[in-house]
Formats: sequence, structure tokens, C-alpha cells
Amino acid sequence: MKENTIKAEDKEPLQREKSEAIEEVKESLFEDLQRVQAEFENYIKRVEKDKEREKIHVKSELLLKLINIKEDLEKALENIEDDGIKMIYNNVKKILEEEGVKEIKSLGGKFNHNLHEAVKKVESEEEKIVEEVQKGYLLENKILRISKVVIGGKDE
Amino acid sequence: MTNKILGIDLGTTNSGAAFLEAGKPRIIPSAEGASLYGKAFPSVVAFTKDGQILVGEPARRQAVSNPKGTIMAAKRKMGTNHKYEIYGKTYTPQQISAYILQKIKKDAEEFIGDKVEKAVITVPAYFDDDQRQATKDAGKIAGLEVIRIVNEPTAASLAYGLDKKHGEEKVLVFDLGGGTLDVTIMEFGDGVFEVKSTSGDTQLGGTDMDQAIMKYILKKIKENYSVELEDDDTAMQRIRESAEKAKIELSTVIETDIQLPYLTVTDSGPVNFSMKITRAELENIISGIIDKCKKPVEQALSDAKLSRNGISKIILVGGPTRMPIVQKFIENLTGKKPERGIDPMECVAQGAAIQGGVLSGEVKDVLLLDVTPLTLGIETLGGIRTQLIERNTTIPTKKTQIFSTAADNQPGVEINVLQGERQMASDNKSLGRFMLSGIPPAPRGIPQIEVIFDIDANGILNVSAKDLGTGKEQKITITASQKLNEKEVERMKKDAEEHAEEDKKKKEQIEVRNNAESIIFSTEKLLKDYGDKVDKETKERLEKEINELKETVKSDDTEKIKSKLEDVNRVAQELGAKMYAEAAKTQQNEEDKQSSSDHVVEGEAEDVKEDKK
Repeated sequence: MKENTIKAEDKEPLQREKSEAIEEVKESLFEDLQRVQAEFENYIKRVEKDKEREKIHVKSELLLKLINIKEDLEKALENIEDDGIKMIYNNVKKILEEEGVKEIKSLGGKFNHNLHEAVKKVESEEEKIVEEVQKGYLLENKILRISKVVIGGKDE
Repeated sequence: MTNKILGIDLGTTNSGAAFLEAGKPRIIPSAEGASLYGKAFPSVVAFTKDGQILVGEPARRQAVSNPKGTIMAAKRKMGTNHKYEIYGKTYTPQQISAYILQKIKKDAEEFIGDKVEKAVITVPAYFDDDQRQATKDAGKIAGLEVIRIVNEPTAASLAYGLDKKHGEEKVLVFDLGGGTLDVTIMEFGDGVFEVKSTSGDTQLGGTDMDQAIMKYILKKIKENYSVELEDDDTAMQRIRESAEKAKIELSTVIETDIQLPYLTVTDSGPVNFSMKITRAELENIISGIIDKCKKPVEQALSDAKLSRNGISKIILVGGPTRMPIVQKFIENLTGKKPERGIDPMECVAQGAAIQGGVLSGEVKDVLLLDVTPLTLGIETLGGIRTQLIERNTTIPTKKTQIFSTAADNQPGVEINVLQGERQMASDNKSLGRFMLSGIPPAPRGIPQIEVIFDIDANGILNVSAKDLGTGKEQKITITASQKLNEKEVERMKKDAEEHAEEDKKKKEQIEVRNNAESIIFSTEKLLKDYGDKVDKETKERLEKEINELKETVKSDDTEKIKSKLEDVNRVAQELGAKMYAEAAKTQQNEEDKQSSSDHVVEGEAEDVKEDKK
């Protein structure tokens, strides 16, 4: 009878230890679950952002091709007078405007590293953009194509 | 807090980073958006006269206008006593690199949506202790705890999972960047990569190739139009761009066009330049540059005391290695095909992220989830396999779908659980079957039988079917032992590919027949319910069409059934229209309308089983 009582007493701390260990495992598993859940929710958010990015990317690619055609027509019109070509040019230009494409103003202005890329520097009194080597464009205020320019300024 | 560890490729010309997402590396796009350099950005730092600090694209763009305030390739000075003197202030190479790392940290935090404090940074295999320490310091200055410095070739190998290979490997990493070539030979064994030799050329890379192509185009223009364009910046810009485009295109096609209308105007009119360029031509143009790669590779081999065919794995790093000629060159030199599948511009950052994941314990075994190797589904009307869980779905997963009966007053449905890729039930493996009986009498398509497929992480599949009307339920548990082994899986996948075309035809045939039977059923019901509301002539015509369709269905001629189906539909619609007209006349209740034009679509009806239990 006495023996039995001792055994029961002995059992208790063991039981406690066991349940503590179980608690620990439970906690760590719960934490893992929280992490996975959090990562999954963040992943969904990221996928949403990715979709937006991808949409803009696909649109940009297409617009850039259209811009090349617009510029070719521009060059043609500098050299020949043709009402038909002028009409096509205006149509392409209109589409670009409708899609939210804006030209970056460069010539004569101040160099801005957010809009322009300096490809060359030449000697001049005033610090300004003296030549536009490639026109730049914005799409909804983000760079679609950087404006490549030659800048003037005094030699350092 | 997710506590992501960044993997950073801190390059001489470009830098980029990646992190682990669900155990797989993912590249962090540079915040200025996609640039010419892909998802990486130029390793350029600039201090403007008005006190701004620029990093990446904006810094590169203003380099010409601010040469004294712009620093490029600071990596080459890491670990030296070099000091950059800029507008009265001095900076160490570590500080400059720290600005680049800071930008990476900021971009990453924005992209991940969480704080990032730890990183694994890569360095060339030939970096000495001072250079490695300097890289660590740069991380510290940027507010990053650098938990490991990893060799770039090792990171690239990790991206290809070479560390998971058993046995020994002799790896050659060929890293051709914009301006440098690094060749590294490593030995892998017992989970450790050991660098055997390094070699390279600091003045060789993709930029040289671009220049060579441009020169070639300029020569062609001169031959045709005898104009010199070197001083025409606008024309040169267009030529540069078209050269780059042609180079990229010729990696996938063997011929492309270069078209430059109104390139310039001469006395004799505008120059509309156009030329064709083939891959062979391109390869000829850059062959001199490729030849220069030979010596460093041979040097590395001899330093590692290896013969040409002593290499067991080839890893390519850097944008120019995308060109077929570069791949061919290395293949001819070593007699081994390079590893494929990972973007050579991203593999170093990816590998660094994987290393970070290993160190943080994120790449744990418990998190390595399995996928179902084959599609799981059930048999439906006409012996078609209807899929519930597509193959390659990560488990555990659960899928629920509602089915119905295929005949009026059908008392039960049989659920035949199938595994395989074939369209017909009988061509797949049946994992088990069970009956759900006791469905109360109802017209076909009315009872709702909810079928649930639930696979746990151990691959044990529980399938249950429940009549939503009565709540009656039956289930079956399929353990792994009942499933197919690897060999069988492969065979079944192959089978499905081989029979894809014929299976598709068979399935269509049955679907058309099912559809026809469903139309016959619904049209007859329509006639029965509303036949007295339309004129006799239309009614008789429809009856005749239905009878003809019934005959055609027996013939098994899919095309004939299809065309007959259209006939029935047309007449039924006529009848429907007349009915509505009639209904409007008598101002009948709205509620009758729906059923007249609504053909029951019978895609998912259960196989009919005359179960008389």
C-alpha cells in the first residue's frame, strides 16, 4: 500500500515534465504554422504586385516598339512632305498619348539623372543639355525609356 | 517577423539579390524597374555637387557629367588601402560598397514587406582574407549582419543543386560578365566545395562583343553609303541599340534584320540602312573574343592538374554565356555539356539565398513537401476520367467537387477512384471503389453528391462522397502501398503522352454523346411540360428531330451527332421563342420562362449504375 503511494508521487513530476515537453513542441509547431501562414499571405500580396508589374512590363514592351515606329515616321517627315505619312504619324502619336506616354523634355534644359542619361559632355559656357541623342518617354510618370543626351558645361 | 536572409551578388559591374520564398530562391527586382541589366543594377555610386548620394542606374546615367563624383568597380579596390577623394571627403572601398548594399537592403525590404537584417554575400574565389573581411565590413556599415561570405562559383553550384549530388564532382565554373572573365575549378565531395584553381581575364567580356558587332555594322554602312557616322551621336546610339538587339535575337534565331531608316542624310538623300545578319556571321565577328577565353580555361585546368575531360560538371555564369557560341566553345573544350535551367545572370544571387536558407534552418526536412506524381480523379458518365487533383500538386491538399446522377431515379452512385493521365477511366489505374446508395428518387442531374479528395502530407488519400440531400456519406482510405511505384508512374506518364491525341478524340466522342443524351432528355421534358402551349407543327418537327438524333447517337459518328444536335437545338429554340411569344400574349407567369431555353449541361453526371441492393 505504501509502495503504491510512493509510486504515485513519483509519477507526478514525470507527468509534469512530459506535459511541459508537449507544450514546448506545441508552441514550436504553432510558431512554424504562423510563419508558414504569414509567408503565404505575404506571397499572395507579392503575387498581386507581380501581376501589376507584369502588366506594365508587357505594355511597356509593346509601347516601345510603337515608339520606334513613331520616331521612324518623324525622321521620314523631316525629309519628305507627305500628307499620308503625316496622318499615320499623327495616329500613332495619338495612340501613344492615349496610352499615357509622355515625351521627356530635354533640349536646353537642366540635366536630371532621374530623366536623362548623359552619353557625352562638351565644352560650353552654360551647363545645359545641348543635344538629344535619343528621345526619352514617361509612362504614367515612370521611365519608359531614358532620354539620352549630350550635356554642355565647363571642364572640371 | 519572417527574418529573411538575403543572398547578395555584389558584382564588379552589376549587383543583385535574392531571397528564399517557400524554399525556392527569388530575385529581388531593383527599385528603378527593369533596366537593360535585367533585375540587377549597375554597381555605381555617385556623389553629386549638391550633396546627393546616388546608387545604381541614376548614378550610372550621370557619370559622364560628374566623372569626379562617380565611382565604378569599387569591388576591384576592396581590401586595399585605396581611398576615394570626392569633393573634399574621403571614402574607403568598403564604404562605397556599403552604399550599394544599403540600396539592396532597402529594395529587398520594400519587396518582401519586412525588415531584413542578415545576408550572405558572394565574392570571387580568388579573394584573399583582407578582401573578404572588407566585404564583411561593407555589410556591417550597411546595417547587415553578414552571416557568411560564399565564393561566387560555389553559390552558382548551389543554385544548380550540386550540393545534393552524391559522390565526387569536378566542377568548372565559367563566369563571363560584362567586363571580366573568371574561371574556377572546384572539387565537391562530402558536402564541401574546395577551390582547386582560379584563372581569368579582367579585360574581357560582353562589352567587347557589343563593340565588335557595332564596328561590323559601321563597316557595312560605310561600304554601302560611304558615310562616316562615328561623330553622329544620334546615329551611333541607334546603331548601338540595334547591335545589342541583334545579338540577343541571334541567341534564339539564326538570322535577323537590322533596319535603320533615315539613319542620316547625305547630299544624295537619306540613308535607309538595312542588312541581314546571321548567327554564323555574328559568331565570326566575335570569334576573336571567344578565342581569348581559351587560355584562362586551359590555365585553370593545368593549375588544378586536370585534363580537359577530367571535368564532370560545367556551370555557366553571366549574360554573355547565354550565347550559343559561348556554350559551344566550352563544350568543345571540355567535351561536357553545361548545366542548364537557371538564368546565368541570377544563379550567383540565387545560390547565396539558398546558402542563407540552409544557415537559417529554413531549408528544413519537414518543410520539404511532396507532390502527387499522377492525376487523381473519378470515373464519370460514359467511362470518362474526371480529374480532381492534378498531377504535380503539392500535398497536403484537399479538393471538393459536386456531381450528380445520370438517370432519373438513380438509387446510387459508384465512386471509382482513378490515378493516371489518360482521358478514359479504363486506361487509368483504379485505386479503389465504393458505392453511395440510398439516393431518394429524383430526376437526373438533381441530386447533389459532394465528392472530397483529401491527401495528407504522407500521401494517404481519403475519398468521401456525400449526398447533400440526405446527408448520407461513404468513404474510402487509400494508403501509399496501393499506389504506383516510381517505375509505374513513369510508364503511365509516357503512356499518356503517346495516347494523348487518340484519348482526346475518344473523350470528345463520349462528351458529344453525353451531351446529345442530355439534350434529348431535356427537350423531351420540355415537350412533355409545355408541348400544349405551342402549335402542332413545331411540336411535331421537334419530335422528329429528337427521334433522328436518337438514331444518330446509336451510330457513334461524332460529326453526325454534332450536326444533328445543332438541328435539335435550333428547333428547340424556335419552340422556346414561340412559347415566350405565347406566354407574353397570355401574360403568363414569369417563372416558367427559364426552363424553356435552358438545356441542361450534363458534363459531370455520375456513371449510371443500376444498383438494386
